[in-house]
Amino acid sequence: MAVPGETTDAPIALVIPADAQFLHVLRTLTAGVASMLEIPYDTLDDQRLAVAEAANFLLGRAPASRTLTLRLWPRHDELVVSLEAEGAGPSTDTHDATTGFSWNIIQHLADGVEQSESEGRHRIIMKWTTLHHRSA
Amino acid sequence: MSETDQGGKGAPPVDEPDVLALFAKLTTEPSARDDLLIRFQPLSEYLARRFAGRGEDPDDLAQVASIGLLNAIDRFDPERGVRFSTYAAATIVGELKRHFRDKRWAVRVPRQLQEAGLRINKTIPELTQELGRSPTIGEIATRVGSTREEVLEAMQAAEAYSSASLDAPMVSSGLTAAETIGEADHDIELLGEGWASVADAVKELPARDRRVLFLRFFEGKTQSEIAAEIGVSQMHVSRILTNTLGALRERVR
Repeated sequence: MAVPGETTDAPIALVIPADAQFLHVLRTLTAGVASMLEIPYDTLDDQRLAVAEAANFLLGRAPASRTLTLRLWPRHDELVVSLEAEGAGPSTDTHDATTGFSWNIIQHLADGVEQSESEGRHRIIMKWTTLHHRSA
Repeated sequence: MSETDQGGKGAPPVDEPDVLALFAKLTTEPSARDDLLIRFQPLSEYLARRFAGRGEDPDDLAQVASIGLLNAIDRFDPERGVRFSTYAAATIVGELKRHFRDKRWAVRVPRQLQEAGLRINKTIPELTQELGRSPTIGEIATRVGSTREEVLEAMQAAEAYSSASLDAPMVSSGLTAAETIGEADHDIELLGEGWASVADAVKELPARDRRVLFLRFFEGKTQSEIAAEIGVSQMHVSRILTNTLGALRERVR
């Protein structure tokens, strides 16, 4: 999967404090953007769950984060969503990130998912295809 | 209801001696306040009952009326030549009316949205059948004749104000408690390694919620497919997933 940050199209972005009480804002924005695309409602709902779960994953991996940044790239044939925790420093969690509960959930909900960690930034990128992609 | 018929109309504007005595020692003896509360509790309850049958919980109304009574005791001035019961009745009724006004304002918008939610709730299975998949927000909007934004809003409102009326009846699993626990162990085993940290929490879930998790995350069924299988609406499945994952999340945090 291409890293969306490296493409030229500007994302729709939202920054929230790294606090679970704001997760519903991420869910709401995700649903709002997804509703612009040809995405079945089942999937749209999965996306909302996945974004909340991704936030939970990042808060668990990087509890010292100051902010969470949600970026959405709505495209004709796919929706790319990245969630990034900033200001966290290196992860103190030595467990393999990809065996935990949240990761398991996200994998089931997204068509594709990656996570990366560098220079105190923890990022999850999720991708869903739209109906245009499926019919192509 | 007009406020002119609230207690004491035509009655002499003088309180009974014992009431006046209680007010006289209100500032020096804290027990006087309790005595006044007890003394006028029947008035408070009577007025609360007059507001019953409007969709509010009777206990909540009694509570609101009691607050009105307390306020009346604290603010009453015996020098003004008004009977306390008259003053208290007006204060209590004011408190009750304010409660309804505030409450109704909070409920009015969601009710419209709930109606839209009901319409959408009916439309989703129809469209799902026609299309062979769950509809997009755009398709739902076209069918119900509203905008995507309105559809989304209604669906979110339905999620927030999960009301029994939006929920189709549940099909009982007919299993005994012991069978349910055995089934839970089995489900968790199948869900795999990632679920180990929430295994205990999953076991405590109602059988139906666990079933929804299992169907979604082990069998990989869509929300619409799960809805059809367990006999509830897709929106209900969505709510179950959101709430259940939220509850499990609390446990692993």
